Amino acid sequence: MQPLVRRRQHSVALSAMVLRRLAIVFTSIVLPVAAHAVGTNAGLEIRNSAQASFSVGGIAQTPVNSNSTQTFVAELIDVVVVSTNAGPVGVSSPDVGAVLEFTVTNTGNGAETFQLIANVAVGGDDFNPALTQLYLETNSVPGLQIGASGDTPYLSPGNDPVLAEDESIQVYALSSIPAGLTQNNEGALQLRAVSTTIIAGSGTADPSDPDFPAPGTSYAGAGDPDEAGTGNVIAVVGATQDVNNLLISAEGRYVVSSAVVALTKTASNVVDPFGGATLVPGAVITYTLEVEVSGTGTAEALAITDLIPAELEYLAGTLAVSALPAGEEVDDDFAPVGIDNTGFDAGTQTVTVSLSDVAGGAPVITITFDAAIR
Amino acid sequence: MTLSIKDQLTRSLSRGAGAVRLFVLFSGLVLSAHATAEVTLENSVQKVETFVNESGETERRLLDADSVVPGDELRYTIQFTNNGSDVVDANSVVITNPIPENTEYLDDTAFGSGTVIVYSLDGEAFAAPEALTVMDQGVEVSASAKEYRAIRWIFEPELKPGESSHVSFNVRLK
Repeated sequence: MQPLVRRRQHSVALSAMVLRRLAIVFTSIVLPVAAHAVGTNAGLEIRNSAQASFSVGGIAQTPVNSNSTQTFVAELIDVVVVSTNAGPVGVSSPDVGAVLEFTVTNTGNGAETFQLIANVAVGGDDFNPALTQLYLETNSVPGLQIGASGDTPYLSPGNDPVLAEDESIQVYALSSIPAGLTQNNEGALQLRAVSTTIIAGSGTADPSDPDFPAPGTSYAGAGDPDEAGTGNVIAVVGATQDVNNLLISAEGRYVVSSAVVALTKTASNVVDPFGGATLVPGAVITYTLEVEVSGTGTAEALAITDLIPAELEYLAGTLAVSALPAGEEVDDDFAPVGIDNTGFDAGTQTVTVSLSDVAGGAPVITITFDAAIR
Repeated sequence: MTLSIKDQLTRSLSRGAGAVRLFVLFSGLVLSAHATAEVTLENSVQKVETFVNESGETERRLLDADSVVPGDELRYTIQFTNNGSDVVDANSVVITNPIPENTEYLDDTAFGSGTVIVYSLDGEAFAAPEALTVMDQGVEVSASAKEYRAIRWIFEPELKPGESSHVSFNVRLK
């Protein structure tokens, strides 16, 4: 191989490459118990009365009414946390800004405040992610956004979410991933939502603490106000707090999974002006770049750039790509900016090919172009 | 409400050891002339709890209904007493209890010794369960117990003065 060609090999670059695990489309998720609240609202009054008619000596008497029983509906404290990622979330090692998503739903029958607790020391995994921050979905834009108009960092107890019956909130756990992990290592993070009524009543938010209340435990006057305005109803710990079938916590997982991008560049078809194959000024070289992505991940926003050295002249219209993502065209105008970015930029003397996301195992993508020796 | 002769008698005779006996003696005479029979109803509620006993068997017990949450089972008991001094006619005591709001009747729980029990889907027309039907997509089907809106008990025996009996039914809080 000519020195010229070898030197050019080093100028090939991968830009803006984020490696993420290929989403597992067919993962089936088993969701615990339907997350909808049970009926009658806390504080409501249930009344009952009966009426009787009767006769004496064949003469109907004035019907009589019974007293009316009055029962206030107590507040049932129930909450269900589910992991809402389709499967383990792919990360690199090390990595920052790895996000897990959870949904916290108040399945009780009253308004309740919940404290959120993330636990990374979960058994049955390979590493502990380091929690950076929990966020509450507050800006109505799906997914986690951080910043001025982004979602709200969760800082207990200042903004413990208050949820009405049936209400849900999306919670994000932002973590960093330690270095030195190997492919397919998994790290779990558990999110727990504990009613502040339970914390106040039992002194613990930890279901493994013997003081954590069993379902059926009640706290007088700790529920919602009754509809008659005479006070607050009893709060009762619901079945989602059952330590044998705990629904107040859920686990999300990170998996170390990278995509490996291999680039091979060859020069071929040298045609000199004299019909031979000698590298002389005016000779045209066809370059071939082969892009192969392997591994279980996806190379996201994969872009290939190749700087044409001063000794070479890119020959307009010769760039060809075997598989371009939708919206990309081979042209030299780079318009619209940020979308169609495949072509030759005379200003920077660079050939750029935007391949977008390429999954591991995808067919090899071939890029060819011609350049002439000056 | 008018003050009955019986009331006056009760007051005038309520002092002294012979009051009760005298009252009984007089009341028959008075009330045969002036029918003032009194049936009173006393309604109470309890929570029905299912639990597993020490032998591992499932049992049910009645508790105070001071903490009731959705899904709980409640038992309403209506005690009826003849506080008057006349015999109340056989087949004449008819007790009607609408199913409380936010609850649903639990099938086969209505009870009443010596009573015929009928049910209603609208609170007006009462019939035996097999006669209660609803239309489901153009087909007439038996109504489910959850759709009952009222229960009626017809007490068959006569109810003598001082006698008492009770009826009950269970619901689940929605």
